[in-house]
Amino acid sequence: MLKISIVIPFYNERIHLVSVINKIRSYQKECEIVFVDDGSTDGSYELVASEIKESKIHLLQLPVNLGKGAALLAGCDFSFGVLGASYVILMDSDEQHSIEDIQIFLNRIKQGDTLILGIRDLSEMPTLVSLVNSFASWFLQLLSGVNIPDIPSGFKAFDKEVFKLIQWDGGKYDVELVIARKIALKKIPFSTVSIRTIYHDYPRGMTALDGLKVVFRLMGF
Amino acid sequence: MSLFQIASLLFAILMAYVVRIHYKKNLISTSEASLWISMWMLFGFFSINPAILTGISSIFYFERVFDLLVVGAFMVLTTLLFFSYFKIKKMAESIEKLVIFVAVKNASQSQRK
Repeated sequence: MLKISIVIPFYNERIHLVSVINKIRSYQKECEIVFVDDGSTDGSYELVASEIKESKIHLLQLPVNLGKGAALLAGCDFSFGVLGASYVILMDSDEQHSIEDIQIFLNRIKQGDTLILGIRDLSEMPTLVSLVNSFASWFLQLLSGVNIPDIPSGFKAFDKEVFKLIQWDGGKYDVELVIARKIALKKIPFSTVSIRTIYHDYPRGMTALDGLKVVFRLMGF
Repeated sequence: MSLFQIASLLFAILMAYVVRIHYKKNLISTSEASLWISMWMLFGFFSINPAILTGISSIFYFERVFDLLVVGAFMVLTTLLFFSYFKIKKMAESIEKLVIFVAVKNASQSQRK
């Protein structure tokens, strides 16, 4: 039986967390769920702690804000090391990833895929974000010859062996770029799944201003 | 002695005093403090006797002593920046590892309860 863990990092996400927890409860039969607080200051940690009573939902707390990369790393370390998971699914806590899409990843995991990347429809993204996104894929392909669509997407799944190959060292939102670079340069086989494109009306994650960061990160700086 | 020389000398004395404060607070070792004090004493000495540097300038084909000082200062600053960058990077990585370790340890302890 495959042990699957869903890792959800959060930082100051009070407005979305209760909804995420309520929706994700339905996956408890198949997965362990790991919430990772990245040093929130708005009481998000306390909120999650008060909401979860189930033994299959876990909560980690980083005492200081280290960035999404570090929170994901803590979640993966806990899942693979303590829970003995064979797979992890990473997703965001701000409801820009549809909880229902987890089933798509679970199906692919059952089929034996070891690295699954969630891909959104670029045409449904804000224009500037879509441009930076396309540029990142184009630039990485130029460097490595590997085409990874929708690099900034944080919705992905992989097994323990792949985790050892792509293990990143902390970082902020650019952790997705670091992972994509490792996948491309190490030529790790991956499959893609289409996921819903959800954008809130406030700026989050990558913006057009991150164009320069894309270049530096993908080059390994 | 020109006004610039006096300012340079005062600056060297001030910096030596800053080194002393750090030494008194046990933030730097005796050897580190000695090195920094020697450096600022040398700086003060050359401020009073810039003519000594004229000979060194000509060895390196600098026309003016000032050019030698600027190049020297840039070399020192770049070296310090370089070492500081790696030290901070290493420290950030250590803090990150420690924080993740503590978080995972706490969570696994509460898991066992």
